[in-house]
Amino acid sequence: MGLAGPRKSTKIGNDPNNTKWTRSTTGFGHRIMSSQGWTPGSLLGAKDAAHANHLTAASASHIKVTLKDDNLGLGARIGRESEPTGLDAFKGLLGRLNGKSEVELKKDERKRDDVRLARYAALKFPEVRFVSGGLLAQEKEAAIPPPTPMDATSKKSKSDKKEATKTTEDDETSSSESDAPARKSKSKSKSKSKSKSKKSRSRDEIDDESSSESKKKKKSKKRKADSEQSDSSDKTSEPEVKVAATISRERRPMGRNVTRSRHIAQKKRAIMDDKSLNEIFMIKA
Amino acid sequence: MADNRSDSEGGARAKRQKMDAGDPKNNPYLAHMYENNNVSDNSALAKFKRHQTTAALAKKAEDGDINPFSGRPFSSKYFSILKTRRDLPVHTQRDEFLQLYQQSQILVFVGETGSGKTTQIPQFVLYDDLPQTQGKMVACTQPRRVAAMSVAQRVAAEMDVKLGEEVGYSIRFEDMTGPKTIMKYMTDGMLLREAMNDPNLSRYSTIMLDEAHERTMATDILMGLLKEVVVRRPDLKIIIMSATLDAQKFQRYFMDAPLLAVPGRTHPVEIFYTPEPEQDYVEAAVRTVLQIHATEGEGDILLFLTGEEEIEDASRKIALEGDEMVREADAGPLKVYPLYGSLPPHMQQRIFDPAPPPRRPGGRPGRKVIVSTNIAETSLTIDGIVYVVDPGFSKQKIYNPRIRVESLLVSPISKASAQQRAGRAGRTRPGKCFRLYTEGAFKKELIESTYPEILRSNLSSTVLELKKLGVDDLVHFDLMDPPAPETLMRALEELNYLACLDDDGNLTQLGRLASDFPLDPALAVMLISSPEFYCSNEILSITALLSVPQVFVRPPAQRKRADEMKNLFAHPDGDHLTMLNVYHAYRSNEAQENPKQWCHDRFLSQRALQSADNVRSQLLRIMERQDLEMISTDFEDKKYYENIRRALCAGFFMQVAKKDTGGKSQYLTIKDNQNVLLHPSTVLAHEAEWVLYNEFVLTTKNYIRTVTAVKPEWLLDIAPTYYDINSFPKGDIRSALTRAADRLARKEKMRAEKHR
Repeated sequence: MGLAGPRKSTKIGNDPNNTKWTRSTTGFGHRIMSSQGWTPGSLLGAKDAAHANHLTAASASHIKVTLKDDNLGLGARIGRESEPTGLDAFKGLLGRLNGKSEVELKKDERKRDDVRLARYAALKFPEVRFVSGGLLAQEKEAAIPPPTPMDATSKKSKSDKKEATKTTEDDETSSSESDAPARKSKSKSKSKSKSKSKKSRSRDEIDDESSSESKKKKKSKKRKADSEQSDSSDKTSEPEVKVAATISRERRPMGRNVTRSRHIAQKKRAIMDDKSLNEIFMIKA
Repeated sequence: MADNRSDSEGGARAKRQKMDAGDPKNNPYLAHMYENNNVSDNSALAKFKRHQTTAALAKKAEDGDINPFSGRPFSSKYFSILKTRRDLPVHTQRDEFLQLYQQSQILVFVGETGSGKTTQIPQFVLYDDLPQTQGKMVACTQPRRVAAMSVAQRVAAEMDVKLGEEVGYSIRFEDMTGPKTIMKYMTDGMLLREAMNDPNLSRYSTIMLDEAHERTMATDILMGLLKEVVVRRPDLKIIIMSATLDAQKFQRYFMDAPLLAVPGRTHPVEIFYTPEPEQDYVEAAVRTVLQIHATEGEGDILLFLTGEEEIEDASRKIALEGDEMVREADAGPLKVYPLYGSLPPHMQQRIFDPAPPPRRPGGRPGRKVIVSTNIAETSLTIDGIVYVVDPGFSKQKIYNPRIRVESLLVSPISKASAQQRAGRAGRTRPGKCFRLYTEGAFKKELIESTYPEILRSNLSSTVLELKKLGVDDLVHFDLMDPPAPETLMRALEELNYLACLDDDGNLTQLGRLASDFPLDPALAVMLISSPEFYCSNEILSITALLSVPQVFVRPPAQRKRADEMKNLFAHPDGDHLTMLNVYHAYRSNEAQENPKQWCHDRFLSQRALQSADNVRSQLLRIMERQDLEMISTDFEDKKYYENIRRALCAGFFMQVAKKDTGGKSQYLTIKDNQNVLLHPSTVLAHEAEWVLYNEFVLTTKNYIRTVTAVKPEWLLDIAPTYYDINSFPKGDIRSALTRAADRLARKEKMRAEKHR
C-alpha cells in the first residue's frame, strides 16, 4: 500500500494476547482442570471420542477472527490492482522449484496472460453488443422459445458457441450445442457483462472442475457490470422500450464520468422523445 | 423447588376432583384406573401394541371417527388438514421411520425444510409410543420460543385437540400444558432447566431434539446429558432431528445411531458467482438487487447484510434507485423492507406483506426486496422469495477468553450457511442465488459449517448450569464440540472469584442461588448481594436495563438533539446511574400518561424500556421466591448513589479499568492489561481514575461502553481475593492499589480510635 492508502493508527498494548494469563499455571481454572486429568495441550471432551475426527480447530483454541471495518468483499484484497506485474516471472520459477510440471506452469502462465489481455481490452475498447439471431442451421428451431431479445456477446477471439454452452453447465454439460441458445436465453442475465473475455476464461476453468466433479448444482459465472451500464442496456433489450434503444448503444464512459454521462443521456433522451418534449413545453397531445 | 411443584399440582388435583366428581371416568388423574375399559370400548388404539405398530394401523386410527387421544369425535376440519398432512414428504416414509424408531434407542433424522418433520414426526411417535399408557409424555425441543408456541398450536389443530390439553408447550415464563398433556413442545433451555430437578427426565418416554443442526448452547448440553441418561434409562427413546445433510457427525457422536433421511420439498436453485472479488460488498449488493429488478422475471428478492446500520443504509439506496428506475424506465414498483432483530415487531411483520401490484393493469409486476440480517437464514421463512443475494458475511458472536471479550463481529459465513441462504430462493418455485464472491473464495475462504454457540461464548453461566446438573468432571463431559480449554479455564476462574465455586470447584450456596437467575453470573451475583448495599430495588432496575437493547436512540439525522436530550438524564458519575435516571423518569406519572410520546420526545426506545419493565418484574418474582429483601436507601441520603456504585462493584469487579498514565482518556484493564478507550457515548463528566464497565467493544480501537466511576477502596473491600495486591506486578496499578489500601487502613484505625 502506498502513501495514499488509508491511515490507520492504533495503539497496541504491551501484551494484546494476554500471554501472561495464558502461560500462568497457577490459576484456579488450571488447578481444577489439572485435578480432573487435563494436561495442557490436550482437548476437552470424552476420552477417545468416536466423533473425534469431526472436531475442528476451535476445540483446541478460541476462534480467531480478523477485525473487519471496511466493505471489502469476500476474497478481495486491498491493492490487488497494483500487484507488481514482474512477479509473474518469479511465479514460474518458484513453481518449478516447488516441483510443478512444465505443462501446468504453461497453463498457469497462459491464464495470467489471458487475464492481462482481457483487462487491457476491457479498458481500451468499450464492448459492442449484439442481439441473438438464432442459429444458422435451422434443425432445432422448435426448441427455441418465442424470440426473446437478448444480448449476444462481443467476443473478439473466443468462439461464441463454446461460451454459450458454458453458461448452462449443469450435469450434462456435454449436451448438444444446438440447444444452447435456448437455454441461454433463459439465463440471459449472464450475458450482461463488460469484460466478456474475462468471464469466459473463468467459466472455462469452472467448467473443467465441475464437469469432472459432476455436481448436480448448476454453476455459472455472472459478472456484475456497473449498474448504470447494465440497467440501461437491459432496458434497451426489452422490445417495448423503443426510445432509449438508440441512446444506450452509445459508448458509455468509465469511471467518474459515468454519472455525468448519465445526466447527459437523460437530457438527450428528453429532447429526442416527442412525448417528453410535449411535457416540457406543456403541449397536450 | 420440585417439592413446591408437586404441592401445587396436588392443589389442582383437589380442585378438579371436586369439579369432576359426577363422573370419575372423566377425571384424568384416575384415567389409569379406567384405561383398560376405555381402550377396549371405543378407542381406535385398542389393538395397538406399544412399539409394534405400523403405518397402516396408524392410518386406520387417524381415519376413524373418534379421536383416540381425546375421545371426542373428529371435526370436519381435521379431515381436511389430514389430507394436506398426507401430502408431506415425511409421510411416505412412515413405515421406515417406525421400524427404525422401534429398533433403536437413538435415531438421527434428517429432513430438509419443508419435509414436515417438526409437525409430523412427533405425531408418528405418539401413535407408536402411546405415552398415555405409561403416564409419560413425549417432548420436542425447539431452539426458539416463538417456534415452540406456533408449532404446538399447529399440531394441536392437526390432532384436533385444544392447545394446552393433549398438546401443549412450555417456554420460559409460560407453561401451556395440563394434566392430560402427552405431547409437549418446549424450548431446549426449558428441558435443560427440568433436567436440573429431574436428572433422569423421568416424565418423558421419548425426547426429540429438533433443529439440532442449529447447535444452540442448550441443545449441545442436552445432547451431552442425554448421552448419559440413555444409559441409565433404557426405556427412553431419543430422536435427533436436523436439517443438514451433514448428519454423520451426529451419528458418530451418538454411538453410530441409525439415520433416516427424508428429502425436502424444494425447487432447484441456480447459483451464480462473481468472476472476481468485489471491492465493496454493500455497493455490489445494491447494484445486484437493482439489476435483478431490471432484468429478471417476477419474484421477490432477499438480500443478506450484517447489521442494522448497513441494512437501513442499503434499503434507502435501493428504494431511491428503484423509484428512479420506475420514473425513468417504467420498471415495476419496488418495495424495500429492512429486517433485523431490534426492529419493532409490527415493522418485522411487514415483510409478509405481498409484493406491490403493477402500477397499471398489464404493467410490469411489482417486487418486494427484504434486506435482512441472518435471522432470515433459518429463523424466519418468507414465501415468495425467488432471488437471494448473498455477500457472504454475517455478524457473529465471538469470545476471546484471553482478554475476556465477547463481541459481535462481521465475519465470513460458512459453506453450510451459504447453502442455507441459497436454499431460501427455492421455497416456492425455482430460484436464483447471486453470491457476491468467487467460487474460489467459496471453496477456500469459507469454513465448512458455522461454529456452534458453545465454541463462541463465555461459558461461565454454562459451567454454573452444568455444576447444577451434577456434572462434576467438566473436563471429560462428552460434548459434541468441546470448547477450547482456555475458555473453560476462564469460566472456572470467573466463577471462583464470584464465589459461585469454592476453592475445590464445588458449587457454593451463592452459586446455587445465582443459577436460578436467567442471567450472567456476574449480574446474578450483583443482584443477590445488592441488599447488603441497601439498594436492591435500584440494582434490579439496572440489571433489567442491562439485559435489554440500548435505551438511548440516536438517529443519524438528529444526533445533536438526541445527545442534548440524553444529557438531561446524565449523572456525572456514569452511565449506569444515567440509565437508572431514565428508568425512574419513565416510571413517573408524567411519563406514564403518554409513554410513547414521552419516549419519542426524549429520544428513548420505548420498546427497550417496556421490555426492561417486563424483565424487571420477572426477576422480581425470582428474588421474592428466594427471599431476597427489596430495599432502597433514602433518596435524600448522600450515600444513595454511592451505595449503588458499590453494589455494581460486587458483580463487576472483574471489569474494571484504570486510567493509563500515557494518553488522554486511555485506560488499562485490570489484570488483563488491555488498552482501552472510553466509548464516545459515555456521559462520565470527569476523567475518573478507576472505572467499571459493562461491555468491552472490539473494533480497531478498543472501547469500553457503559462505564461508571468507582473507587479502589471499594474494590479492595468488596473483592479482596481478586484485588490481592501481592498478585499484581510492580507498576502503576499496584502502587495505586497500595495507596488505596493504606488509606483504608488509616480510616479503619481512626474509626477504631474513635470507638475507644
